[in-house]
Amino acid sequence: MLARRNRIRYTREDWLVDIVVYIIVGVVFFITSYPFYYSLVISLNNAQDTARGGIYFWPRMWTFASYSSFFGDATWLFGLLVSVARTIVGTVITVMFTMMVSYGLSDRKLIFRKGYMGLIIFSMYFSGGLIPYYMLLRSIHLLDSFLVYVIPSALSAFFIFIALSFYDGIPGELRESGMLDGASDLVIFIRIILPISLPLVATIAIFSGVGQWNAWFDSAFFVKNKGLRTLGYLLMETINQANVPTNAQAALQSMAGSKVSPFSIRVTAMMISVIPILCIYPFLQRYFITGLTIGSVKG
Amino acid sequence: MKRNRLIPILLAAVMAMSAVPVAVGAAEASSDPVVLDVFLNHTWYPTDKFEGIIPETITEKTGVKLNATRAVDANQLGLMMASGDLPDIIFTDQELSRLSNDSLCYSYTDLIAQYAPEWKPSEMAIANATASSQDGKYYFLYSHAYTAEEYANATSGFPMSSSLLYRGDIAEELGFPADKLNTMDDLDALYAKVHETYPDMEVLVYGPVLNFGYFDIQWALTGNTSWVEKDDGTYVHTVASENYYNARKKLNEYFRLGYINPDSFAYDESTADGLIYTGGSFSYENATQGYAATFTEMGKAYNPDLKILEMKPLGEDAAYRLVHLGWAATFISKACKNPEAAIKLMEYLFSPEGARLTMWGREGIEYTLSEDGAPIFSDEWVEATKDEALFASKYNTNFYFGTTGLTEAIGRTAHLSAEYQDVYDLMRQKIVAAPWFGLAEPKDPNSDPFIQTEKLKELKENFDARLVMAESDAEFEKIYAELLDAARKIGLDSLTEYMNAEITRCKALYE
Amino acid sequence: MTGSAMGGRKPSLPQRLWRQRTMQLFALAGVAFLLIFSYAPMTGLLMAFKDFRFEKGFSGIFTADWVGLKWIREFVMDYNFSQLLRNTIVISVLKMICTFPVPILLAIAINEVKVSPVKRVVQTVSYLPYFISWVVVSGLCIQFLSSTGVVNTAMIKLGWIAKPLNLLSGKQYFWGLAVFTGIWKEMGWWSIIFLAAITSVDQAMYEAATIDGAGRLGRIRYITFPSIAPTVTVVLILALGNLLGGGLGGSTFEQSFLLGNTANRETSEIIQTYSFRMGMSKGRYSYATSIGMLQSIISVLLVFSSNAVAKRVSGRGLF
Repeated sequence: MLARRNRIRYTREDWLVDIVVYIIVGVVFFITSYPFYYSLVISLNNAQDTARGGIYFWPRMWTFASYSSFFGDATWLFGLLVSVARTIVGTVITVMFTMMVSYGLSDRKLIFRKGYMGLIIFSMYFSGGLIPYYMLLRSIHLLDSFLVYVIPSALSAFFIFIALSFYDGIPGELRESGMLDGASDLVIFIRIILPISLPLVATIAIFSGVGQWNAWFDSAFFVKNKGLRTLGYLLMETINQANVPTNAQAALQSMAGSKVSPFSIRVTAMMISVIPILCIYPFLQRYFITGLTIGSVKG
Repeated sequence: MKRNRLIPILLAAVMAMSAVPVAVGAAEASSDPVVLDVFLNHTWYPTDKFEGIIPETITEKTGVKLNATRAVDANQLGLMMASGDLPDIIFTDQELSRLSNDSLCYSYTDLIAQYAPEWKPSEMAIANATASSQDGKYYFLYSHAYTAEEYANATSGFPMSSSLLYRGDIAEELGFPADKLNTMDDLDALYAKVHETYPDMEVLVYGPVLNFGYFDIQWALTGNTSWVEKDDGTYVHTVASENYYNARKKLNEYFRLGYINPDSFAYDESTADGLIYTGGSFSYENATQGYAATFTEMGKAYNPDLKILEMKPLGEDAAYRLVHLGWAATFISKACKNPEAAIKLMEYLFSPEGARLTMWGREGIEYTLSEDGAPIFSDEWVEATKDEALFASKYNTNFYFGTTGLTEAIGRTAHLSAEYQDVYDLMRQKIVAAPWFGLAEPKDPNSDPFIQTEKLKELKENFDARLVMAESDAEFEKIYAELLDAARKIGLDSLTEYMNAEITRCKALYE
Repeated sequence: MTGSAMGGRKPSLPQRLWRQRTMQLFALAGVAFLLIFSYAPMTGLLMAFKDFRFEKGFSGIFTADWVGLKWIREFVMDYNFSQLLRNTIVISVLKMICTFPVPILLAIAINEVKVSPVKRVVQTVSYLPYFISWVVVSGLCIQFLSSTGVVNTAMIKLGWIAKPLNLLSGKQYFWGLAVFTGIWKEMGWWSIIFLAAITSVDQAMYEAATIDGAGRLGRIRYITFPSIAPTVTVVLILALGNLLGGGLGGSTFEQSFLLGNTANRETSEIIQTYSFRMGMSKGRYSYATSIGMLQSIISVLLVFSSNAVAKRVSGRGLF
């Protein structure tokens, strides 16, 4: 298809668009990749030496010390396993549940739809705070369990709206044709809607997957069992540990303790959390890059 | 050769130690240690493992082992308190008043009477802690407490405070060796010379915490209280004091002379640290006391001549005002599975033996006491201090729930060479102990004086930078007037009245 | 609504519900979930009007004394309220205007790149800053934007400026800093949503348009743009609802907290950071909750009104 279009004359307009597009893309590439690359270099350079400045493209004093300060003991291995598990389980649950709920809501003839939507919107902006939430989790026995990582995150109003806008773009005939064939809503959902929703699935998966992967808050507040701590929690713990507190007396006490380089620690923590995502993203990416042809599915 | 002397002591100590548990009670020695969960409400806490020589010795002596969880977020403790899901022990420097509460924690008053009647904390220590509770009982004792006499008689050690580090090698080169630096005017002259000779150097950089602490000390101010005693014996809030006005005026002068880069307000800890030992700055103001030697070592890799020194107090009115009551508190929660073991652990950690153990290691092994009561550390210990990670994993001096301020101060500085010690002798002469300021600080976090105090702290912080960066004298005056105006809106006048009464009352308690 | 006998045989409510039972069950599952995990804890909102003291336990939410609008009054009467309000509004609006169009443009640009490896690489790289936490961003800003940093050095070498700019501490630069770092950090991430919408456009439509003689601009204008318009509307309304939080420009709270410093606080302190400093971090949950609630009300008003406008203008809204 691409080759065929290329054979069609390349007009001046085409060139103009190309130039503008490549300038935009080039600038974006530079300003987003360089700071990231720079962080990688800093994480591999001796922390004391970094303070001298002048490092731009290549580490001056190679060291893996920043990384080894993270992977001190077996806790980290557990943390990694827990994070992988919650990312996989949590993302699958979120994607399935969101797709299902929003498919239900996508039917404009749904009775009480307005009421449902109102409830969803309010839930986005009002929150009772941490204390009642904790009490809720306690009363339904989610505290100190793996489920607290994957259940409360199963649905987000934001994902519902993204999904609804996607379903809106699906031609109504698709569902109608299914109905004419006598298929139930459930069958239509699974056989017809899901297969053409892959870009949507990929979007929600990456958004919720990244959230799951980085999560530390629930691990800090809702889990006491040290074996259930996530990688995000351990990273956050190490980062915060390197921070000098702002309270005067505490600052003095902490300075009496040790002198570490918070910047190197933070940058390294970031690298540790991003690299796995970088490895997985290309597999999801093709759903955004190569378009789907709805017609072919229909036919 | 020192080691030869140590061996008999070491043997004696081992024998003595193995005898102790037997004497205390065979039952305790044979049974497994009691494991207590402790929440360390300090995100920066250097360790969360109860391992290493010192913690193991504590377990040996008390039969208690700690399973520690370090805070990741400042709100964790609040949630624990609201939900009632508290661990056995809480080590915190926040929320002392809210935790001093019969429904959340056991009072030391009751626990000591029931399980440790031998333990007699000093009356002042009890009064200081009782000030945080509503029911006349005390629920903790301040760690790192001190008395005026202790510091007056001390021959080494200095409480942690803000400091000014400077490049001793450059100062010397420009004709200002340490003994020629004696007044603020000397410092002005030195700064002028540095700025002229090294125009690219940032003359004065300050860290992100406790901005200007060293300079405040030269005008007898401290970050630990907002109150200053006037000549007529009344008390005035820092922002309304002449000391504050003069201190900021001085820094504004430095700013206008180009000694201070405004970006200094934006630097994080690593950047500010890095500038001093890599040659980017001449002097560095932060809570960096005792780091002169460390930074010198770090900087030598790039400049073998580099020497970083700590500035002695230069101001006419310089005073290291010790106004705090101590530092943190250890609470024994109502959920504690063994309050008896917990209070006995605290009794041990507050005993002279326990206090020293947490900071200095085992007597006779890690240190021996000199004639004037200061520790002489073993070679092994001194060697280990050079490698932070090794020192931490080997000795783990961090479990200091009950030690005294002086014990900690000595442990931190006693191993430094004389070159760095001298300045502490000068500083110790300027100590003014006035704990009644700390006692008078509003304790109830829901009360108006407390909230006003916090708001005024925030206000001062915001205006500090504006005053320092004023472009002219007229602008300085205008900003200062604005500051006083805003302070009055927050309630400065009523708070001043309240605090005058409180400080006077508390001072009387100490006399 | 009740299914009258008129107009043929309109089914009754129970009948209609039964007919759409699968769809109803799907939707109800979601609603039930929200009732448990969102609405049950909302009892906590009561503390906005009470003198809740957390040390007395959770039940204080119900039993503490009513104080009405005491906390809001305290906040509004505060000496720096007008400054906080100004900063909050200016930063929010500036960020909304400047950051919203960027991910859309980027998505369209990426879609127009026809060389597949370039497309993939740019897309992957552009969302990387999303993963850099604001703590690290503030560290990077010091490295790049300080008076001796790369940016100032380059501008001096190019002769644009004579003296380095105090980008980090100058109060006149903070708003620009917030907008720029917001765009930089979030544009790639949000472009994912728009790219997903673009890629779900039927490719056959492009081919048909090409055959009809539409140029590339024409195809962008008449096919790409209309096809992502519903997504743009939805994201815009959601972003407006999150106006005070930072829209598509990342968390304004974290920006103000971490890029702000005592030197630029006149322009960087916003309502959220102040309420955090004076409320949450001092254990004053009631105070923090009531300020938070004020913001929630503003957010909901914004969402409903922008939804109404969107419906009138484009016939399509969020709900």
